[in-house]
Amino acid sequence: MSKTSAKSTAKKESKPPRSSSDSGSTNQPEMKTSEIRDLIDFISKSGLNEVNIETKELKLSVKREPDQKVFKSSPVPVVAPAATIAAAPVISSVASAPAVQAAKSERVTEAASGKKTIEIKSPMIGTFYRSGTPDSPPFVSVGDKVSKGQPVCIIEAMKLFNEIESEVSGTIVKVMIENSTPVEYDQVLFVVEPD
Amino acid sequence: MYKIPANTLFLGKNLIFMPECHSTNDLALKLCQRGEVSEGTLVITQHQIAGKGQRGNAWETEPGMNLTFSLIVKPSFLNVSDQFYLSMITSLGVHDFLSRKSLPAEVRIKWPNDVMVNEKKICGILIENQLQGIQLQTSVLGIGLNINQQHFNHPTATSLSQLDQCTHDLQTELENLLSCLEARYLQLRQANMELIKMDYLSSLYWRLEKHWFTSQGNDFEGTILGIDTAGRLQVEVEGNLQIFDLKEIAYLR
Repeated sequence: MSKTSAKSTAKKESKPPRSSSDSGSTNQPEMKTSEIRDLIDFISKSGLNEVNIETKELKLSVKREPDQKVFKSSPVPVVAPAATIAAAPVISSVASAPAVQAAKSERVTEAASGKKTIEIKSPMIGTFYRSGTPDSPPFVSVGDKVSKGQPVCIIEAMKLFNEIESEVSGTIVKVMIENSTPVEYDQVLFVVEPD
Repeated sequence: MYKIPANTLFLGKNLIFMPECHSTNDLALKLCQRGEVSEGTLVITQHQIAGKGQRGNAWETEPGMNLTFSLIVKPSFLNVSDQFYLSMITSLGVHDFLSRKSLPAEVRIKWPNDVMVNEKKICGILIENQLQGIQLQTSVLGIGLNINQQHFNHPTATSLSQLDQCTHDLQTELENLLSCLEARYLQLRQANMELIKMDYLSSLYWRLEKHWFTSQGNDFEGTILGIDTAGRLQVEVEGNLQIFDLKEIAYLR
C-alpha cells in the first residue's frame, strides 16, 4: 500500500500546474526553461527510448542512446503578445501534458519476430476487467483486430469505471493481465501489432 | 415524458427520453461511442428495466416513481489522477438538492458516493468514463434518485417521499437537481478543487466519529479523517493513519 501511495504522490508532483480559467487567455503561453527541464526529466524517468512532442509553440525531441542521453530542443519561434505572457506565466497543462502522457501510455517495442508492437498500459491503479459486465464476452482476445477508439478493457478505480480505448489500429498479440485482478499505474495490459 | 429544463446552462439541453430502457448509462455510453453527443446530454427514462449498480449489482426502481437518468459530460480538462472529483461533484449535486428539502435528518455522503438520509440510501451513482490513452474523453454520470416510491424490498433504501410525506412532481425535481449538478460541475471546470473537497468532507458520513470497521477479517475501531487524492479512505486507527481502498474496508457500526 505504501508503494502505491508513493507512486501517486510522485505523479501528482510531476504534473504541470493546472491551467485555471482566471489565466484569462485562450492563447498558449510559452514554455519556461525549467518546465522543459522538468519535462525532459519526466521523459527520462519513463523508460522510453524516443519521444517526439510537437505543439504550437514547441518542438521537442528526446532520444536515449545506450550509453549517453541526447536532448535536443528547438523552440518554434512564436510572436506572443506581451500581455499573454504577463497574464499567464504558467504552461497550460491542457495542451502539453496529454501529449507527453499519450506518448507514455503506449510504448513501441521491437518484437522477436522483428515486427513493431505497441503496449497498451494502464493509466491508473485499479482493477482490470476484460468485459463490460461479468457475463458478457471479453472486449478483445488474442488475434482480434482492434481499431482506434475501440474499447479494449475496463479499469475500475474507486467505483469509477474507465473504459480504455485503443489509440491504434492493429491486432492484439498478447493479453498481459488476468480478468478481475489489480493493476498498477503504467502496467502493460495488452500488446498490439499495429497495422 | 420530460421537457428540456429552463433553469440550466447546458445540462439537459439535449434531452433523450425513453419511455422504457435497459440502462440509461448503457444507452449514453453507446451514444458516446458513436461520438455524436454534445456535452450535457441527458438520457432519461421512466422505466429502467436493467439498471446497473456497481459491477454486477442491479439498481431496482419502480416505473414512473423516481428519477433515473444519465448525464454525458466531457471533462477533458481533468487529469485522470483527479477523476475522483467526478464522484465528489455528482454526490454533492444530489446532496445540495436534497439539503433544500425539509427532511428529518441531515443529508450525508457515504464514501465513496452513496447519498444517505436517516441511515438509509436514497440515491445511487454509477460513473463510467471513456479514456483514450491517459486522456478522459467523456464521462457518463448515472443517477438513480428515489423520489415517490413508497415500498422497497431493501430495508436500507428510502425515498424523498418517505422522508417528507409529500408527493413530488418529477419534472420540477429533475430541473432543480440538474441545476445543483450543473453548479458543482462548473466548480470543477473552474478547478475549484479545494472547495469541492472541503464540501465533500463536511458531508461525509461517519467522518470524525468513532465507529467500528472490518478489514480482511479484523474488526477495529477507528475514525474517518478524510480521503487521499485517489479517493481512498483515511482512517485513524489507534493513533495511526491507515489508508483503505474500496474493497479493503467495510463499515460495521
